[in-house]
Amino acid sequence: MKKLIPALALSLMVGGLVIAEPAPKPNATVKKAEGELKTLVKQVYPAFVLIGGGSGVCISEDGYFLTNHHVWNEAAAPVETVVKMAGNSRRFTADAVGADPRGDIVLGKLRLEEGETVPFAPLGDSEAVEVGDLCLSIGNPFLLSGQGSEPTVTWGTITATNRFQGGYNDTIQIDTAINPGNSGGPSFNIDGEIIGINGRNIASHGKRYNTGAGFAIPANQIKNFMSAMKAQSGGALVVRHGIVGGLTLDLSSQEGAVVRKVDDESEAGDVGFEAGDVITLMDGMEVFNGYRYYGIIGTKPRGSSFEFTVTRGDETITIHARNNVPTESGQFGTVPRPDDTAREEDRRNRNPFGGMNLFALPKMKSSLGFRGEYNEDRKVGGYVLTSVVENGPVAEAGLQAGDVLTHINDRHIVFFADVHDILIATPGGTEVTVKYIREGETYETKAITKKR
Amino acid sequence: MKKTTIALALLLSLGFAAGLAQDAEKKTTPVRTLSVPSMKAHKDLESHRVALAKHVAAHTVSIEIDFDREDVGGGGPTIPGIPGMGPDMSDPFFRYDIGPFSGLVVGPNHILISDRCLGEFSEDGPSDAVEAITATLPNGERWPARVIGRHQQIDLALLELDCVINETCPELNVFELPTGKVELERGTDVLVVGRGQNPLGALVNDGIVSALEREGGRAFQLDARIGNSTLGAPVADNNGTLVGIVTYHNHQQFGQASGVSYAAYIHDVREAYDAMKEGAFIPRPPSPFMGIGAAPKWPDKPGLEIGNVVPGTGAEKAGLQIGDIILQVNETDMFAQEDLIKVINEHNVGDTLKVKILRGENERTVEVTLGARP
Repeated sequence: MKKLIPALALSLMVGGLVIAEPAPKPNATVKKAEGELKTLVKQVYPAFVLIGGGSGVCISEDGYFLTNHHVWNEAAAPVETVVKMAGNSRRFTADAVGADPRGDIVLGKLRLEEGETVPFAPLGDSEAVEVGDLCLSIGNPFLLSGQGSEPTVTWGTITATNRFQGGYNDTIQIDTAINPGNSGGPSFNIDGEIIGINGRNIASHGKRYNTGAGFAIPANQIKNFMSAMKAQSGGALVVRHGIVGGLTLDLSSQEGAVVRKVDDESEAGDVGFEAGDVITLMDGMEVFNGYRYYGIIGTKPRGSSFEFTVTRGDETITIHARNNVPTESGQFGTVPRPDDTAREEDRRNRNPFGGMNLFALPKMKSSLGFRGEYNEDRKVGGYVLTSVVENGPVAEAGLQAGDVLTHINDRHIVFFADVHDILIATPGGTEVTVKYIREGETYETKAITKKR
Repeated sequence: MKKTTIALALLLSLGFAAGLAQDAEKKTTPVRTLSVPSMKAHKDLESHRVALAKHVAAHTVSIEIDFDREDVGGGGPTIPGIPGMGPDMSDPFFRYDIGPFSGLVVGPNHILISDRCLGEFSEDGPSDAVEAITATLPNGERWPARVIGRHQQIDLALLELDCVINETCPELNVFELPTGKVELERGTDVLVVGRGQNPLGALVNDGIVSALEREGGRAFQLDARIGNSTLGAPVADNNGTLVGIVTYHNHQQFGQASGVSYAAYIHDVREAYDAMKEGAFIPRPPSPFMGIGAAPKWPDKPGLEIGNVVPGTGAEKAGLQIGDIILQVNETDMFAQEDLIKVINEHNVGDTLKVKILRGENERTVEVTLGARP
């Protein structure tokens, strides 16, 4: 036996070169694993849709599909675009049904013939996703499908879950190759269920190529926003995120989310939060620091209720609070600023795949001609007018500075976001009902919006 | 006094004993081991992959291409003709990329590489900036090589070693190019085995087939995270069958390690090899050109409105005018520009297309002959 080894080694070397060993035959495990993956790809592939500069996926047989908000904004007029389904180049006109701009999701719907159905993939349970799980992504990186309709499939691993990435508040990190153009495309678990919609990656130095860290918006968050997005039915196209009003956290702590300050006359104050409280669980999910609070609070639309498990001294108590304040008014939120457009254009010029302004909200179609601010007097609520435009819509209707606007078309107005929601879906020249309070008396009148 | 000392000593020794006891306890506490599940299936996958890599790597060599830096452009280190491999000064990690690249032994003295490594296309060899080509064999021997054929469309070039096989240099392991069509599916496992900075060792990336129809059907796409050194590397499937060669890599667009790369289909490689070993230098064929610019007229039905007609082209000769609306080309509905581009790209220069147009109220069909893109 010992003698054989040098002989074998010699026989492998001829003229100093290694003789090629014969090609190894794959055993049953290798074959089975590969066969399963090919089947998985075949199963989910037809649900993929190509949209402008990005990707999307059908989630129901009657043609509802998901994509990124930034993809939709790049692709189309606000409410209509053309999408193609994978593999057959079939074109559909599609409408935006509702949007979650901060969550970077648009729910769209294909215009189908009566009774027509399309292939789709179901939304899975993203909370069940574990680090190390396998993951299949489909997308249109670098728009390689070009004139055809063949997207790109990539295969990898779940790297992390519950990542806080600002607006991507509770994202799943994946190492499947995600590149510009993959935005809006799905990531699947090995059961062929959508666990998330890919929207971002960590790019290499100044470029936008994948570095092995991509981020997907989790399916469960999308499900939480689904009914609100459907309810928009092509209207305002904005479902907002929120935070608990009046709750300020100490973001430096790593032992739960420590409450630093609770404002009087706020949601946090009303439900009984106190400074020094430590939030340890939200809806049963562990809160290891303040960022995780912002992560979880963004998974449900504004106005949703959360169950907080709180440590106060030696006690553990349960508090229910709503994320009532629109995120745009709070920390980690941005209200579009005048220079945003210029910045955006600059970025786009530098990079053909630019336009990653994730939180750009639709522009208002009309205005009511006033400025105002959040009413500190929460017993009255509403929005205090600080000035009105001379001869503008509300001035014409008889309102003046100091009035408290409480309702437009029966919608309760608290933040400018509420006014914004209405006006992005209201063309100029539309009559709206306006309710306001002056010196304790409530009035109701009509105003006609002005085209912006 | 004495009593105190004894008490103190007692206390100390007690403390010491307690410390010892603690140490003893520590020593007897079993070391906690992580419970690792049986990785038998993965051991199978792993050993198969290693065997596959060894098998394929035995057929590869490392190729260095020396560019004359004087000749490759004044002012800065640029290499004309190698798409995307020039410097990007904004990139702090920029590396002057002249190889090594990967080469595949396909004949007794024949090595295939990616054509774009040779710089601009010329019909008598590499670009003028190339001074020398050196192949490093798996045993470390270095031999000069010369270009005997190029095929720009498949992005392959054929090198011949400047040595006498079995006399001055050893016999190489020849990877037989498979005959017949190799079937690929999306999701097929692939292993890319190149040879880079260390010419004695292999450079392995694994991945799956990401897409089948790229570069007009001449390439498939992989999600292997290849780098520039892997240009020209063989792509093998789980059976060790050669299914492609890494080519067409668009560094500028794809970068390195982006998980997007292309490979030429092996049947095209075989065809290109057969032509190149006869000494063929085949430039990329001219791309077909109709000579119009058009944009969709309606969102939901076919119709591309012509916005401009290039003088002297097939479109002008056929009498197409600005404002005409193209409804169909060769009986395919035209919804978007990409439909038109697709039909044109499926044809060659000199082919004739049947173009159905709407001019005013009238539909008519004209024949347009495709020219070469200027």
